[in-house]
Amino acid sequence: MKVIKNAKVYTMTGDAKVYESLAWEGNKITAISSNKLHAEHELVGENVVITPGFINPISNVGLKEQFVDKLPGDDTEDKSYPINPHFDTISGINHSDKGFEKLREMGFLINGIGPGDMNLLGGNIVLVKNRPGFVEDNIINGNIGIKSVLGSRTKGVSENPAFPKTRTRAVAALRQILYTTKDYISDKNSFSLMFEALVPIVKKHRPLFIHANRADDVFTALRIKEEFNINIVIVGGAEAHKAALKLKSSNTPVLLTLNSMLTNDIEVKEMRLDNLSTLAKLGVLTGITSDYQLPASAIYDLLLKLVDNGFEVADLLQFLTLNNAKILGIDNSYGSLEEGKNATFNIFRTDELSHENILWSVIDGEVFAKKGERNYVAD
Amino acid sequence: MKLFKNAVINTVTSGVITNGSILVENGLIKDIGKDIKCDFDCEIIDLEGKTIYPGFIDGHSHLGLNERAIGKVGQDGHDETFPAAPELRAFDGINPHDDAFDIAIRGGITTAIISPSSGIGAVIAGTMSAVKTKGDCIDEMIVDSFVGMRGTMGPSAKFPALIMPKFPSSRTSVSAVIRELLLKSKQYMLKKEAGIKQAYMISFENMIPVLKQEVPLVIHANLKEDIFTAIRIAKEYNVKLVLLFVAEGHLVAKDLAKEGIDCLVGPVYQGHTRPEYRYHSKKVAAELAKHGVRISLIANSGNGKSDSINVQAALAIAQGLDEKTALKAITINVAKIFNLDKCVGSLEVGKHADFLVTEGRIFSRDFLIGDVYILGEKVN
Amino acid sequence: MLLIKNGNVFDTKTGEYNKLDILINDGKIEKISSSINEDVEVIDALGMNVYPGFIDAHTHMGVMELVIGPDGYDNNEMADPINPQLRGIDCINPQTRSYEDARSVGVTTVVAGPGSQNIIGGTHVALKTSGYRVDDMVVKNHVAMKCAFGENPKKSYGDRGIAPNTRRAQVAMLRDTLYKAKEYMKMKDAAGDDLTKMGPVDIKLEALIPVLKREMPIKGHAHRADDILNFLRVAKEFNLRIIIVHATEGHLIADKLASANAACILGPSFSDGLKMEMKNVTFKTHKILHEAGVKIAIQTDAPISPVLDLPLMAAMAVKEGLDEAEAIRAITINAAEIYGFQDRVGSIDEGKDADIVISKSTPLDFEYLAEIVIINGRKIYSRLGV
Repeated sequence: MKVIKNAKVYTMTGDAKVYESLAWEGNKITAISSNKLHAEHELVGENVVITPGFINPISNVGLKEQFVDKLPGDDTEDKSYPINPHFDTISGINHSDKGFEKLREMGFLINGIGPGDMNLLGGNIVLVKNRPGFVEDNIINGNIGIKSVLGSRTKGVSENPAFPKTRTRAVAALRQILYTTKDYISDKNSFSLMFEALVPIVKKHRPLFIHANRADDVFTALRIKEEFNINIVIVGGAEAHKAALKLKSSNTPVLLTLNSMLTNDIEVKEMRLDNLSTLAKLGVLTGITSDYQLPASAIYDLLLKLVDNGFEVADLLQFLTLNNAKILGIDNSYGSLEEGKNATFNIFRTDELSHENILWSVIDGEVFAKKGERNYVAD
Repeated sequence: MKLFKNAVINTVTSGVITNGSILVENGLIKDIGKDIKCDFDCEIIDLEGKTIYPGFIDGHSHLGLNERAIGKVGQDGHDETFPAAPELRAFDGINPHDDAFDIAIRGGITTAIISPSSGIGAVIAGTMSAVKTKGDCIDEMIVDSFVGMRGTMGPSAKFPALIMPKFPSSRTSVSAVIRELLLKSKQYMLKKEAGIKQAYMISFENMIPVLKQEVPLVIHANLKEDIFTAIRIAKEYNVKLVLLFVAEGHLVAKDLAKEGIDCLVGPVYQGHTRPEYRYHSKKVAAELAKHGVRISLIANSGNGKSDSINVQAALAIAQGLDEKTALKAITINVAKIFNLDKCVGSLEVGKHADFLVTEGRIFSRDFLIGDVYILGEKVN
Repeated sequence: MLLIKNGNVFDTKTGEYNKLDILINDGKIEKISSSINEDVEVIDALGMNVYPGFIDAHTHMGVMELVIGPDGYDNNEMADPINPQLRGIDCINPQTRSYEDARSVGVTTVVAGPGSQNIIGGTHVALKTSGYRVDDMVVKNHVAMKCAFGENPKKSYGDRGIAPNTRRAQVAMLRDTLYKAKEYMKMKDAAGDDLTKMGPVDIKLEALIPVLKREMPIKGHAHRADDILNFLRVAKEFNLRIIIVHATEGHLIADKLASANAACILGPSFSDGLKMEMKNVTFKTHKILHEAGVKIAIQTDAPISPVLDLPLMAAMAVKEGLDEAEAIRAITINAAEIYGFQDRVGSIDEGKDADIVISKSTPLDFEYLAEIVIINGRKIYSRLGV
């Protein structure tokens, strides 16, 4: 049993408060209390600030290895054929990608890894605890949902006519596949790996994560959601605020790729930092994720920008933790700090929540010191 | 409720009303006539004696589908992946924020029939939709999502055989693509009606209304052989045919009248750079109308000068088209051709309150379009 | 109504000329007799020869309109060698120069359609040479299915690395398609009206059913003797009605053609034989085949060679020994009978279409000129101006 004493805890269930004890055993939080605890606990730290581990919902870490030569390391996009819902992302991850460590040092203790924005149906998204070691040992959920894309990202990827040249073709292809999946469900004569992967989507067990930035692409995603009665999550969302009413009434969450502002893509010209608060105020469940074309760690630079631009750290934390967890469907265990939930959190030296101030991370109850630091007890 | 009063109202279908007023409720014309009084809580707009026309309808356009001036990312109209692609739907690719819509509104267009483009390799290009020219969400701008199935015949549809031998590379193959689609769709439809289990195909589903004559096949055809081939195919499968562009229409006006085929004609100033336009004449509209063919004068907005419908009509009038028909050709005729006349095309009780507040003589250089109203709301 | 008086009327049955009057009414030949007197417009053909409108048995007129560049080339689909579903009627422009030329020499009916770059190219249509809307000009549609053997399909696809690359491939692909059509036909017949028994409808195989049932002949482009023999072999296997187009080396296998009942459309022989397979081209073929009992007709393959030269082709055949009457039959009734539209045209007989050519000479003379040409009972050409 481990405990941290006298910590300001951002639980995400109310205002941040100083608690006398935050205790955990194994991988579960056993107490967040204003009282001293009676049982024997190993003191891990004192006088620190604790936040739930940050969640990076969809990124390319492990797929697009950093600091290696392009083709051998790059497993992000399949340029030969765009319809691969049955591709298991886990089979493309290289655990030794230094990107994982970087993300951990920035507080991202849970990472979603998935396909990019060039395949109409790229494959699944896997959620992984950011502990060192093989991904197989760190899986939270091997298949959160399947990644799809609308808009112009698929245009010109390849001369292969399979890649939709137009928005109308992308929609037609998606609709036909979904209808054929429906036929497949009612007619279990043959087995198809590809259609099996889509069955949970059609049956509403998992969502389609649809990359869409322009307003008309967001409306198109909503139209498909309605036609097939499936769950979707909008990824990107540069103009999602223009569809806020429909997003809210259909309970469709949005993962904003705020750092798309750093790219030159014409479809994200309306991406602004305030889109985050605009959407949240209009009642849409909003989270934050990184633009796929940028390194996964770029999401952190963005947060610093947000803080510089007048956002309250605490408000930002909500998006990175509980909101992202809700959108990914893991909020029963992650995203907030409560008794019974998973012990995965960041420990900061002070209330200034910059990554230099991260002392160590606790993942699944295990303490990970920052590189070069011993376990540290603050004065 | 809104009361627009003190206007000269050209209803198109029921004559001109001087000292006219239009009462609008929930976007529809509740009453129209001389000197209407409003008993309820009414916003009153005085039109100061100006002349009102129904909002013009562009019978053929690519607004929002081939977007203006933003490059490849905005081009969603031409897809030659498969020669027969009835599964494509124009409205899945229309961007309401294409600023060409505003240009079209400037020209008085309040409803546009938006279509996927013709282009080499795209013989059947997908469904056409009737759409209001102002809005943020396409689903809310749609008047009718499926008003025509777009096709192309002749040199514009085929790959040039001697340069790029890809199917279809001959006019006979273009015809065969359409015929094969109709043949297969018919079988699909018959099986569906008989309750026989088969794979759900969105392509054939879109052809069913065409086979049932609920929606016309709208075919780009300029050379008269292509016009005749389109007619031949339509008769073979008993589908309704509407012809588009019809550059050589004046050479075959009698036949078109005899076969009762509606024509979407224009743009009147079409250039002669391609062989299929070599006999094109500004007279086409006038000749067709003279022989009794129902015509629509198109601006081809989104692909040509989007605010030019007034100019198109004026050029056709100079070649002999009479003014009354010219006005019908940009309003009620288009509505009738596409089965939209219950809601647009003229100013009558029950129809959409889409109208233009204008000054100056229509079809002249002095014609000035001021405020444009769609469903009773000012849009410019 | 029109009355042609005092002309020497050629009789395709006997090969002789008889002085007869012809009464034309409502586009048809109403009456033929030694002396007719009616109060109608009269054409005095005294001292002149009167023929049935000539028929060019194989052309691509209006299909290849190269003056307008690649847009006008519809002679062949170049991306697929098997296209039975294509129809010549869908791509003919009857306003091309060939049609005007045809009228000026008395060619009143032509058979036109796809070319020979494909193993199976589609159907041909027989149409009059006067009119602007092809549907109104049809004498008979789908008169034959076009196929091709030899160098053309091999080069146009093989040179691009696509099948067929060899003669063996050509024949194999043709037989394969015919077998598939046979199976398809069987399935269709078995299914009848029962949609559940009917597999996916196939527009290509549908088009071959009339060929398998011998309702439509299949005409094959073949120059070399062995290509002709390939065609005969396939025809025997599937019991097809066949016509050989060109039959350049037909004279080497005349007896085989005769016993196979294969009609031959000869020409255009006015050439030195540029292609390898044409090196034995000669106008002697006509006489040899005719005397062996093979039914022959003559073509220009316009616009490959000008339709204006159809009479010249007949004249050259006579120069090399063909019987004169047969030469004229070869550009009139024979073509009609080979394709099966002789009820409409091909000879001057009561009830047939009034397609008539009047000339001071005969088409077998090098100085032949048409004086007056009548199509569907209307004077559409007059050498001195209508």
